[in-house]
This record gives sequence, C-alpha cells and structure tokens, in this order.
Amino acid sequence: MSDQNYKLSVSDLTVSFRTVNGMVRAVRGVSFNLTEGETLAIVGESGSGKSVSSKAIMGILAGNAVIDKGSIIYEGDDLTQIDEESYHLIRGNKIGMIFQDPLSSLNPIMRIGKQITEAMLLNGDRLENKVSQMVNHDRVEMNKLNRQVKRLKLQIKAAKKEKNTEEVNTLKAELDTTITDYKAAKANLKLATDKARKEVKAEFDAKAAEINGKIDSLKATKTEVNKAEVEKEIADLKEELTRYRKITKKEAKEKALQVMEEVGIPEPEKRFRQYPFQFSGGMRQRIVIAIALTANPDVLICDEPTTALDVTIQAQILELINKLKRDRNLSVIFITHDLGVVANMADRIAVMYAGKIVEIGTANEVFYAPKHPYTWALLSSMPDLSSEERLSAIPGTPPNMLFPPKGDAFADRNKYAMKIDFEEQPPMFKVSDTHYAATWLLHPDAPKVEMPATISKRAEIYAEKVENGER
Amino acid sequence: MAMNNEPILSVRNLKQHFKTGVGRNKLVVKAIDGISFDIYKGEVFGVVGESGCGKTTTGRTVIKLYDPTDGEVYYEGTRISAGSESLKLEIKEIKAEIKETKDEEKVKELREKIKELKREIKLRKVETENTDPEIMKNIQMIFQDPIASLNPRMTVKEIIAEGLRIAGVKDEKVIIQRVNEVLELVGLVSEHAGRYPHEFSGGQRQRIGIARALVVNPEFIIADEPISALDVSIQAQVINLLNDLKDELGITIMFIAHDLSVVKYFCDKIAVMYFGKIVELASAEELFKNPLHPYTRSLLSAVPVPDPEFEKGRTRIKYNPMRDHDYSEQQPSLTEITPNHFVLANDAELEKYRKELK
Repeated sequence: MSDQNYKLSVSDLTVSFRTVNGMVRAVRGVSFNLTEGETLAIVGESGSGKSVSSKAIMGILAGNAVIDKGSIIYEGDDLTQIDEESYHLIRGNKIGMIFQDPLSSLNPIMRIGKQITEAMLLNGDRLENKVSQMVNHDRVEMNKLNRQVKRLKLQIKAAKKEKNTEEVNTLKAELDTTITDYKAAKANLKLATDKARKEVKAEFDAKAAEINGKIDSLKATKTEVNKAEVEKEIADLKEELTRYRKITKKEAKEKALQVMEEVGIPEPEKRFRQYPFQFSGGMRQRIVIAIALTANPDVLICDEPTTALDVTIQAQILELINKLKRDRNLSVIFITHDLGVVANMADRIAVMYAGKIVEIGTANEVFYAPKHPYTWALLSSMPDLSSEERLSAIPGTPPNMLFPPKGDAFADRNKYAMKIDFEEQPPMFKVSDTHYAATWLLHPDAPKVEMPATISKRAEIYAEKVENGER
Repeated sequence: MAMNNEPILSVRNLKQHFKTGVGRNKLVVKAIDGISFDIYKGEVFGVVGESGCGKTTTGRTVIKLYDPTDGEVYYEGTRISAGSESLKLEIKEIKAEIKETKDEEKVKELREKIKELKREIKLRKVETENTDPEIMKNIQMIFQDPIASLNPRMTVKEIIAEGLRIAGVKDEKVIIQRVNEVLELVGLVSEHAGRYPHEFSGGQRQRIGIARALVVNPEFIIADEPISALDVSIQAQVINLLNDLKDELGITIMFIAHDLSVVKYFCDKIAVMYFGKIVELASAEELFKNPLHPYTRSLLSAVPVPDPEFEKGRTRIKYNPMRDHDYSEQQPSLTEITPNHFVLANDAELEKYRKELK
C-alpha cells in the first residue's frame, strides 16, 4: 500500500518531557497508519504513552514536551513541522478530539449553547477563511522552503564540525539558492494574499450590490398593506448578506441544534440554554462529542471517552461513536485501557507498553492469536463473565521512564522472559500482513511457548466457528 | 464458602434521605429508599448499579458514616444504627386520630401508644450514638480512591496504626509488630512503614488502604469500588489479594462496584440497585443465568466482553422504567420468586417472571 491511502501516518514518533529529574521518555518510536473510515484502538495502562501520542497528533503537548524524532503525516503535511498558523486550519477542523473527563473539559459557568457555538463563531469570518484557503498552497510552499533552510543550516554546522570543506561549500551554495527561493516565495505569498483579498472583496461587493438592489426595489413596493411582509423579506435578505460575510449567531445555533440532535440529546432547544451541571455524565459526554463534531472533522481522537461512565451509559456512548463513524465516514483513534470496550469498537488494535507499540494487528488477530506476552497478560488478567479460576495478575509495576530499560521493557514482569530480553530490544516481527509483534519469542531460534489457557480457549471457540462456516 | 445460617449483617427497610435547601428550594434526595438484605458469614456480597443509585451511600450508612433516616442495621444481632422517620410519621397520624375520636377509652390507648413510640425513638437514638466500639471495630471499610483516602502527611505506619490506637492499644512494640504483620499480609514489606503515601504507586496505595482496614482484625469489610481507580494490570493484583484474605482470614466482604464482570467473578451474592431500591437479589450464578428484572437485563446486556465475535453480535436491551412497568394498580415489593432469588415486582409481574422461569 502506498502512503497516499493513509488518512494519517505516524512514523517513529519519539516524545520526551523535560523534568527536574531528567528527560522522561514517554513515547519511544511509535509508528502506525490510519486508513479512511477505520477505527484504530490504542490500548495500554496509564503511563504507557498512549495519551501523549494522541496529544502529539493534535499538537497540544505540554510546554516541557520535546518531539525528538519522527513524523506525523496528515494530507501530505508533516504535523511535527508545520507552524502554529497552519495548525489552526487542522486542529479541530480536520482532526477532532474527545477528552476523558466530560466534567472537567466543559466550562462550568458557560451555557452549553455558547460552548458548542464558540468555535464556530470564532472561526466564522468566511471571507478571511476563503482568502486563507486560496493562498494555502503558497503558504505550504513557503513553509517547506523555510524548513529546508533550517535543515541546511544544521547540515552545514555538522559538516563544519567534521571539517569537510567541500561539503560545506556545496551546502552553502544550496543554502543560498534556497534562501533566494524562500524570499521569492514569501513575496509571492504576500502578493497572492493581497490579490485574493481583493478578489474576495470584489465578490462580496458584487453580492452586496445585488442584495442592496433587491432591498431597494422591495422598499419601493412597500405599501401599508404588505408592510410586515416586506419588512420580513428585507430582514431575510440582510441576514443572507451577513451570512455571506460571516457565520451569524443564528446560523451557529441552527448548526448546534442539528448536531445536538445527531448525538442524541433530547429537547435540544431547551438544553441549549442550560449549564453543564444540569446534565448527567452521559449527556455531558454527548455535549463534548457535539462540540468536536461541529467543525466536521474527518479524524476523531477519543481519549478514554467512557472511563468516567458506568456500563449502561458507556454502551450508549460507544454505540453513538460507532454510528457517527458510519454516518460521517470518520477515521477514529480510540484510546482506552479497557479491552472489553476495544472488542466492540476496533477494526485494528495497537497495544502500547512503556512508550512503544508492542503488538499491532486486526481485532481478531490480537484477541484470538496474540503473540506478545504483555497482550497475553492483559487479556488474561481481566475476568470475563465465564472466568472461574484465579486471575493471572501481572506482577510488579511498569518501568520508570526516566531510565528506560535497555532490553525489552516488559522483561522484568514477564515470566517468559529470556536472557536476550534484558539485553536487546526486540524488533517488530511480522506475523501476517496486518499483524506485527515486538517479542523475541517470535524469533526462529526462540523456544516454543504456549499462550495462556484463557486466551487459547477463546481462540478455539472462534476457530470452531470459522470451521463451521458461521463467519 | 462457609455457609452459616446466622446473618452477620442485617439491614431492614433502610432509608437515607438527604435534605438540601429551605423553603421553596427544599429538596429531598432519596439516596436509599427502603432496602433490606442479609449478609451471611464468610460470603462476598456484591452491590452493583449505575452511578448515583445509592450503592456507596448504602456502604457508608452501614458503617455509620451517615445516620440513617429510617430503618435498622443489625450486626450479629445487635442493633448498631437506626433511624426513626417512620415512627415520627406514625405519631403524627395517631395525633390526628386522637383529635377526631371522642371515645375517652380509645384516646387513652392511643396516648399510651405514642408514649411507647417515643420511647422507641429515644432508644434508637441512644443506640445509634453509643454503639459499643468493640462491635464497630469488627466492621472496616476500604475506600474507592487510594490517593484521597490516605493522609499525605502521615507515614504508612501512622496511617495503619491509627485504628489500633483508637482501639486502645498503647504498647509501641505491639503496634509495630502488628503493622509489620499486616503489611506483609497485603504484599508490602516492613521497610515501607516509614514512607509517605506519595512514594507508592496506585496499586500499592490501595494495599495500604486494605492494610489499614485489616489491622484491627475485622470480621466484616465494606469495599467501596476498591479497584475502579486502578489500572487494568493492577486490578487483578488487588482482586487476588482480596480473594486470598477472604480464604485465609474468613472475612465477610460487602463489595460495591459497577464492573459486572469483576462482581460476577468475585461475589457469591449480588444485589442490583436502581434509584435507591434493590431491584434484584440473587446468587451470582443465578443472577447471570436467570436475570428477571428488566434493569438487570439491561445492565447485563451492556457488559463489555473482551471478545470481538461476541461484541459484534451484541444486542443491548434498553431500560425505560416508564415503559417496562405498570405500577398504577399495585406498587412493587421485593419478593422471593425462587429460593434465594428476590426481585422487585408486583403480582402481575411475578406471574410473568414465573412463566419465563419455566
């Protein structure tokens, strides 16, 4: 598959946090791809880096975070490189996010309606948006050159250190041409912006003239008899003109009510004027989803959206997300630590541990034929409705990411660990085209290990079903 | 499971109402609205329900963190707390009756009855306020949030020893020995005693909470969502620990949770609560095999299962009390439909459920 088919493509993402105690290696080289209309679940315990990865995609990492390496490609742009201004066009508008705790992600002293329409109104200048879209190509071009300049400067520095005069000279020549190009692109962008502004202004003026003409002719026909009617028509025309220029409050409200209806909030008109405390947990989470949906994103990141809710409400919210995904053809990244939830939602599953993806595959592969001992442990430590025997708990605690272990991070807690696990990190071994796992157990020389009975039992039942042709 | 016919804890028609506001804004929240159950020695009694259904309030009222509005709680036959709202109401009714009747003889009789009721109210108050600490020592609680429930300024030893000191143990040697014993029991080591709570991980903190409850040798523990704040990989550790403690020390546990798969795994008997009432009460096996009340069915149909094939075929049952019940003619009551299987229903519904069981 070529890169073009991916909605979002993350490769070798590495994020660290500067702290007083040193660098905390939160994410250590995560790669995954998201195709259109699929749900990718990222599973792991707290501190495994799943939330940090998603925040890196949204560009909302904390101030002390550093992206050391890696790229996040969305629609041809590398999100780790683009400037804040370009990010505004993507964050929220293209990639939406739902947060974990619906209580703390809503403003308690603002009416629900205002919170839903806030973003729409803030981004509501239609003329300016049009200009920005028209010159987007030029800006992308300029940013690309800007990045190239920065990269060349770094390369020159490195070459100087190595005393490689020849390379320094060629690089310098290249730098000079790039800088000229960059300056030209910058001037070009300015020109294009001015031109676009003028165009848009002219269009708007034409429209305004047209509508004003209509209003004038209507005014002429005004008599005592049809006064009310004509005045209403004039008001409508004026509204149409303002709508051409910006998103009006009325328009935002209409859109908000429509989205509220879509996420299943009864009596949206009444709810529109209420405060968050008047909503139950499940309803609050629906509001948060509604806010994310108003901008029509095509990628939705759900960061543990149901952890704070109880089972029945959880099931409702999951059904809602599934429905929205189908209706709007969304690509969803679903972050959770609950494997039960994942089984319902995910097309593919990535299991994270200590800042790395240890296993990735389709839902069936991860649940019925898991290969990594950590996935085994996760699956068998949860009681399901039929488990009787003692739970196999994972001993110990996750490693301290200030000092990430040299070998496999899970080795200390792993009863199948071999000597090599403590010395060298396992690479991703390919199990099938869609299924990869990072464990030395998959190495041809490794001893054969049976997976725990709970999982193999489940797998057998599934295999039987396949044999009987039920699936 | 050591089955014993003597209930260790009996709750009779317990009500807990919270009143807020005055005058026009007065609001009564009926957190628990008349529940009754028995917990037998050695069993694990699970309480499930959605948030806000009163399961935590039940636990807190049983251990006397709240004074009940009405109803009684017995521990091994001794009444440890009781409320008297219904008695007060009765007195009011009798007074109204006195005003209406003219028969001297009857008025006298009714007055006598009022006196008796007043005596009972006083007795309940005295018993609630002055419960024998030796009895209360036997009931301990494990709280939901292991971060908020441990005092950050006390060392682990101080936190655990506090119960002992309140129980009157003064000998420092005995205290240290006992603290070390329970630390070992919950899987920590004695070196941990000098540290502060923030130096521990979530699972370890919950172990400290459990150690604090165990230090006074309780017979009965109320565990209020002890694992819902913990990570998946740690949850199993804590459940296994509670399981071991139950087997080794023979402790009776009241387990409050909303995770049904854990409750099914861990509990012998389960009570399902909905809006302050117990809607169904049965052994874990029976409840999952033959759920009768529509709310129980809805709850069971929503449990997420780590099995994609199962999840794809799931149909969730919705519960709508207005649609599912018709209580216009007769109010429901908790009735034993088959031995040890109770369900909240009226006669018409009982008839329906019986048919379904056959």
